Amino acid sequence: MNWTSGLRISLREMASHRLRTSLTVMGVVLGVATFVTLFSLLEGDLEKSRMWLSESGGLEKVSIWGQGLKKEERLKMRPNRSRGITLGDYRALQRSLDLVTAVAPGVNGKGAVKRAGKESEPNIHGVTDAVLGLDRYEVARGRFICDLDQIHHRMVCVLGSKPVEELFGNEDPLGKTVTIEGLPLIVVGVLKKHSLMYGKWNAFEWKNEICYVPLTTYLARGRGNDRIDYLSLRVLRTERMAWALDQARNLLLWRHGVEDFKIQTQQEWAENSRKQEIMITVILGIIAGICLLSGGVGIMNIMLASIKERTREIGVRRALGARRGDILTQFILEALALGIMGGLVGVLAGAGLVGLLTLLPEQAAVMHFKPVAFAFLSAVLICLSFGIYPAWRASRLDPIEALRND
Amino acid sequence: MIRTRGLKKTYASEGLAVQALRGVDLDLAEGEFVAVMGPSGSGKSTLMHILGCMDRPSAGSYKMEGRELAGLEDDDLSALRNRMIGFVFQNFNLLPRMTALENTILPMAYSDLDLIQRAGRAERALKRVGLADRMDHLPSQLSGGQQQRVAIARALVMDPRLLVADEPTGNLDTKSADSILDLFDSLNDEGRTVLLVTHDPKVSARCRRVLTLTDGRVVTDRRLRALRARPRKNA
Repeated sequence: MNWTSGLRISLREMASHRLRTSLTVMGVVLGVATFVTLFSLLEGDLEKSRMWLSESGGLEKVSIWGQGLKKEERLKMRPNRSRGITLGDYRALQRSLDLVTAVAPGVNGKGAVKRAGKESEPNIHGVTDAVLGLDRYEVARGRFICDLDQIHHRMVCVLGSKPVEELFGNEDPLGKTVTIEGLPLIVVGVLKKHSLMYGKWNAFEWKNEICYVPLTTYLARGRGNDRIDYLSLRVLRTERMAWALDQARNLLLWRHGVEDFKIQTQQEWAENSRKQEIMITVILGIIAGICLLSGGVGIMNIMLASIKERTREIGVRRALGARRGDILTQFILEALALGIMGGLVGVLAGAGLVGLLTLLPEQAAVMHFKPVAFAFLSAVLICLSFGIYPAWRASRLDPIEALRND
Repeated sequence: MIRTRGLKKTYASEGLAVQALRGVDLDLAEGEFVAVMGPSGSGKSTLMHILGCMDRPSAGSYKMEGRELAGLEDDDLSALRNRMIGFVFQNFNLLPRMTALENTILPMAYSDLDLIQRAGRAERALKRVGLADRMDHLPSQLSGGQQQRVAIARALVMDPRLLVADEPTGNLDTKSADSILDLFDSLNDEGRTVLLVTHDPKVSARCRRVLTLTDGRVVTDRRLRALRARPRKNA
């Protein structure tokens, strides 16, 4: 008997027992669908965080935040007590660090942006033009905040696409006035819209919810001092990150006398998310593996039952000249065909599920070839291996006994 | 064509050794039409299984056309069943989800005949048993006699030297049984060797030679009619 006629016999058998066949492969279908769906969700998450990493400055970005002091440190504090991170720190860092290419100071603002009865609540930041490169923004129309704005404390602002949509709709915002906490600001620029779409959900919408004002304007009008909330640095080369961090830390320690600041790199974040990634992958792999295994057990169970039911058929085939190997091949091919079918249906079901999930808000899911292929192949392999034992049992049946079977 | 000497078969049944055959010496010439009779437990089924290569003797010699079969491996016996022996069973044993034609094609799935030949051979075999117009029927759509004809066509399709029939008329009414026996008769006329296991004297009366087994031995061997002189046609 050759493979093609064996396969034809198997397919016939499957086609004539549609209900039994579909119940048999159900476990495999569910296993594969679970696997495909879970890994698509994971992959979507990973893609999102990779994009997040690069969109928020990449690995070369370092953030310095002010940090409260512990009791014992407060006791050690120098008499000329530190005032936290100030504009002076910014200038000092910019002047003296040779491993850092850019320094962007910033303050977090509060309040809503209003115009003609409409209101938007973006993140308001007082910044310099260094933020453009560091936080990966581009000006779509108009201009960004310039040095003259800083020198003259000009009342201007640059908006992200979200507040523009909310406040202006289809109107041209350039040159129009908006107010923040009652202060009028002229819109001089609009930032390019960022988008990473999953279905209808834009994973990067947070980047568009932004309103920039000149740092000095904000400090003069909103605070009345020179304390800033954070500094972002871009290091020259990530390989020399440790030295750059040391430089920044030493300079600030010398200026502050105490460590009332926290230096954060995106590297730590990336590493943490990588660790999490591996853990989630392993857990999902185990879950999907269990699903697939239970599918395999289902296949074995139904195949054993089917062989019992078809004992006489096996006897007839043996009497007509089928060798043990022919019977073995027939049932293994049946298991293989079940696996291929279950795998295909599972992949399709998974793809459908992924499509449905991306319709949900804030859900990223991407199907990649590798996990899909892996799920399909493991389904086929598992069915094959769980089919071997029943097939072997079928091939060992004594033909005379098998023919007597009712 | 067939020659056995001292053929023995012993089964182990619940710890006891059961001797089903206690030394059978048998010579079957080409073109014989033999009935094997005997009460149940006499060993006639065992003899049929061994002669049909479904089973191996515990001791003794079984030669088919001069070739010793007693020590053959399972796969070799399968190949022999496929090429040399056609089986017909009491309960027909057709595969229920296959049409008459597909059932007839079945033995060829285990041969090296090419696909194009298969359908043609199966059609010829079905025509030979008079079922040319029932090829696409499922077994459930056929009468008992017709089902047995399909089974005979299936047994004939590989053009075997020996037809082995186990109570082929046991499940049929008298009229169908008669026509099936007529069919065997005419197949024998063509020169095929037929071995028919039965306990029905009316059936054995249609054969040319009757063997009676009791307790695993051949006790009588009667020749009712002479062997046809006509040589076997090569299909």
